[in-house]
Amino acid sequence: MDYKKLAIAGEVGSGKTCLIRTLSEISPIETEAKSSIDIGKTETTVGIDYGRLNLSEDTALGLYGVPGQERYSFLWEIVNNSLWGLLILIKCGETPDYQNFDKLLSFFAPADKKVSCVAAITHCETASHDELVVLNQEIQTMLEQRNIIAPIIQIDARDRSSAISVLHIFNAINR
Amino acid sequence: MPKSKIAIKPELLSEIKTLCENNREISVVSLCTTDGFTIKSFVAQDLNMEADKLAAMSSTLSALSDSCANMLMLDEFNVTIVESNAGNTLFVRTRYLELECVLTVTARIKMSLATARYHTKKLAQTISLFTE
Repeated sequence: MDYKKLAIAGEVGSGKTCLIRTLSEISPIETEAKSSIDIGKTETTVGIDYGRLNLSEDTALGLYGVPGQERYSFLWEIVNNSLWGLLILIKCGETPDYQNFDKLLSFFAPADKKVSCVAAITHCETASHDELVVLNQEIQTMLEQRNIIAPIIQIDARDRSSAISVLHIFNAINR
Repeated sequence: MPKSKIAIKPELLSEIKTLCENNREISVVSLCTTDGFTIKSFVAQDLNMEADKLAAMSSTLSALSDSCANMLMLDEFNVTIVESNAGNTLFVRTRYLELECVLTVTARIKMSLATARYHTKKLAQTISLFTE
């Protein structure tokens, strides 16, 4: 069995846990804790979320969701090895923490390590066209500063076909 | 940030200070929220450990331990112990002023694991009894 790893990183509330729940074919391992601050939900991920699915008869994909905050960088170190892909989730509607976003890009360094990278915008169902254009441009600028060539897409982490489309993109890039 | 909102009660400081003064083998005492924000941390000078990373690690380990206990023992986790040749680190869930928290204590190898466990559990219990 060939085993591949996909790292899923992003800020609080960007949809990492939800995406893994949607994609995983096993009951995912989740590490949620009650949030002590107002983040728009009662629980937040404080460790690795893990899920798994079969890409083919002889290939499995491990899904590793990690918090995007730098203080959890020890988890980034655990995950950032022999990656098949790096998926960065960005929540629409809130100004992303670009300093932290850059630290994430700098740490995972997908361009240097030749790891496929996709940036996916979530929570964009009610966003206006202009809002999405601006966010796209900002993300594009951040990626270019790190010499990262990555598609920027919009997904609904709750929707399986939308979530699966991310894997199709990684598959296409990795061919 | 919660650390600016959570009151650091003198009793909390006193309990940590007493524990550390009476047990020089204890090199780390950290109290953080279960979502990884520091409330109070004491780290021996010879250790170069940032409080926010210690809190993040404590929250991760307690969450993973709880997930493990739920899956394998159908129960909540009680204590997580990391043993090394240099000493032991214990992670215990507790409450502080109605907040769910993790207490982390590291004791050098001269202190037996049983003693470290006793002191950690006792401190966790004491902290859980503090009121506003």
